Amino acid sequence: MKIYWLLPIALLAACTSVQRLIPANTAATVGAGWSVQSNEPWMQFGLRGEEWWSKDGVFLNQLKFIGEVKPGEHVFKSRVANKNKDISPLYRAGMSTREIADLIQDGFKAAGFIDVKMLKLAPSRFRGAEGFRLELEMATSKGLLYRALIVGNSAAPVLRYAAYQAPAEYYYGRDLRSVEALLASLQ
Amino acid sequence: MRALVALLLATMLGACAQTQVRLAEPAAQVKVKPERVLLMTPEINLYELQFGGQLEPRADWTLSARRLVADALKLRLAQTQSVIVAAKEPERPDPREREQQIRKLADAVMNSVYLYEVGFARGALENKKGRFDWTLGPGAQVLRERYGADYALLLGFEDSYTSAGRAAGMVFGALLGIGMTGGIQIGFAALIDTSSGRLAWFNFIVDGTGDLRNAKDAQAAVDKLLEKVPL
Amino acid sequence: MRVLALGLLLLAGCAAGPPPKPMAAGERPQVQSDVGGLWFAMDKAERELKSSPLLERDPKLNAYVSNLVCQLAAEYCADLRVYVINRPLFNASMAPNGMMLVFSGLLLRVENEAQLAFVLGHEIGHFRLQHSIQQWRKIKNTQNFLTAFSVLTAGVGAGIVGLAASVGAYADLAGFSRGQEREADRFGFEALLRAGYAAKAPAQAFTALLQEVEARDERGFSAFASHPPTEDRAAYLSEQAALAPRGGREERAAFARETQRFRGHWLADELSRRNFAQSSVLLKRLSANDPSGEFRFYQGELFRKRGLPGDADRAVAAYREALKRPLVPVAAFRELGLLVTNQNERRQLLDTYLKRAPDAADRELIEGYLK
Repeated sequence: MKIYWLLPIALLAACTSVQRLIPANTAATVGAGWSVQSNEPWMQFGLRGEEWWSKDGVFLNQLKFIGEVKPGEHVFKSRVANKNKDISPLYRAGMSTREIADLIQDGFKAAGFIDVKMLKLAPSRFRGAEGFRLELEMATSKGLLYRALIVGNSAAPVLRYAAYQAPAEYYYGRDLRSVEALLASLQ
Repeated sequence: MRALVALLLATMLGACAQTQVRLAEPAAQVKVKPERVLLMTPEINLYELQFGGQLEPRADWTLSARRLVADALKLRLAQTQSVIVAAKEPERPDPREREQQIRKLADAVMNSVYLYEVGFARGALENKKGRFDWTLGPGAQVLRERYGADYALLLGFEDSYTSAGRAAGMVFGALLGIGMTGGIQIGFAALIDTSSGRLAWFNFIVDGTGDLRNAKDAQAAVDKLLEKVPL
Repeated sequence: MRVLALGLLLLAGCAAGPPPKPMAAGERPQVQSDVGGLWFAMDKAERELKSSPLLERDPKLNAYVSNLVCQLAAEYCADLRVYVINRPLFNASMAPNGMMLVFSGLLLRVENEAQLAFVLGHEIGHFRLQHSIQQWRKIKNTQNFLTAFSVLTAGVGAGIVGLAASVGAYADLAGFSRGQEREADRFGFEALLRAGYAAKAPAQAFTALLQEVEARDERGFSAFASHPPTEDRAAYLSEQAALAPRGGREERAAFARETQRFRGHWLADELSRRNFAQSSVLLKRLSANDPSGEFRFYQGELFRKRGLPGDADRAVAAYREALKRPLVPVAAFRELGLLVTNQNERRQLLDTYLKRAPDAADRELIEGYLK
């Protein structure tokens, strides 16, 4: 059994932070004070403003709510300032949709994912403002394929987004509808 | 980091000599009677635990353990009515191919089961309380199609042993309250229903005794791991 | 977890006995020996690598590099197995079990077959002289052993931290000593000459690479994690070139032919590192010898990603230049279209992009701009 380290969220955070059950059809506050609701129960983990939700654990689904990436900050809020790690996917104020999509892909590459590929990029509204919807595919170094859906704002001083990530085999597709409904409820 | 993390996780369990057996659903409701079982290549690694706590992979120990476990499995599985089929291991597998993805997902799911059912995040997924619905999804049918198997058996052992003469003064032995001549053995096994991908059954053993380097103990370890396997 | 950093530690461990004799061709160690353990772990890592997405599977590229290695390794050819890894690092690694990894970042940076031959020969030297095993014995009794081995046994999937380092590490184990690097350089140089390549090639490669190494961007990760070209080595190789006969093959065209179709992908990966200082030096050097639109396009990409004051204009200039030349990626139309201010020009460019890339993943986005 090979122990897996693969996602941008620190595994330790999964195990040491307080978890909370978010029951179905209950409004929850995440990210930058956003209200969000799902028709299914989820577990909530993570720090305030950077909550992540999961149903089956860190390896099988992650739904992150990132309230704020300020200019100069790492796109995934990585706080590790280690010279040997690539910490250069940093946000710049006003980045366009295309730039943000590029930044996010580079962020995944820097985190160790392989064959990061854009499946779809479309304009969208995020909390009533100009935004984007990005779909990606990528592989872990061990070869397990993941898909990701990211929605957020663009051309703004600060980047705010929600990201859903799960194995391409079964898990991503199983919850996609429900996650899309959840994201549509985000305000 | 596999063996070390496995050991760290083991120290958090508390009751190390316990085994945890779980059936996916109460026995009364489920009749698991596999006809043809795909045996996925067992993952077996043996290490020598050094004085400072380092683990040295031992090729000779691992190779003989693999042989012994294979023999023990043959014997144990001969007791079942099911036909056992071995998985094919292609030379240069295409990682994107369906069977490969299912195997890699199985790895991720086993890690999840360990972490959230048995290891130190046990109970963290309150939303799953009372349910045991871990699954690979219907994609597992590729195993059914390819091998004609209605179930797949996944298993492995990670074992470390102290070398003779260094047993005294091992901090970690003391921490775990286990016999100095042993190391830590982590065994895992899961039976997967290939039509739905669900884990019909799983077991983990974390043990301070048992030695995969001799035939008798290898048989005992396999028997213990597969004690309640519904085959 | 940077196993490669071990090379910088002063290893106080005792070397067990005299250095191992160079292996005979076809020799394999006994499983019980300490070398056997290492070999075994490497075999395991190699098995995992075979099913990893890191592996570049193109048969022609693999054949090209493998044949080159075989030529250089002479009677050791059958002991070696070559794998091309898709990572933007300048690295080639040699595991003691005969597994050689050649990284795409290396193939991107060398300019001809002779330069590549030297680097491969250098790695063969490490293998032939069993340097890994010497290092292995040294670190065996230290705390770092576990780190090294956990990286190895975790296989290619060592995960987030230093993935690139771990793939290299699992063949390199620990940085080699300067003496060992010198021996390998000598071996590589001799192999180069025997195969009829130009003696000046290694020195040229190193001089060029040094410029890139020196352009350090504090934040980005360096492409030269292991085997960094040093002034020392460049000087040594220049000396050797001066003493050797003139002439010899470079095979610039042959090398270009074999690698041309991958360069765009490698350049994109290179720029994803966001180490703009290094990428800038590299791009300048590579585009000097190459008139295609491709390099100019990636020059534009660099400016676009970097986004310093004035970079948008620089990007526009680079994309315009790219579009005048042959072999320009279709994305150039999109990138220029998104940056220009003149609405008509923008429409034209984005329209062209959509026509030429009917399956574009960002179709909806671009169509949105054309409404």
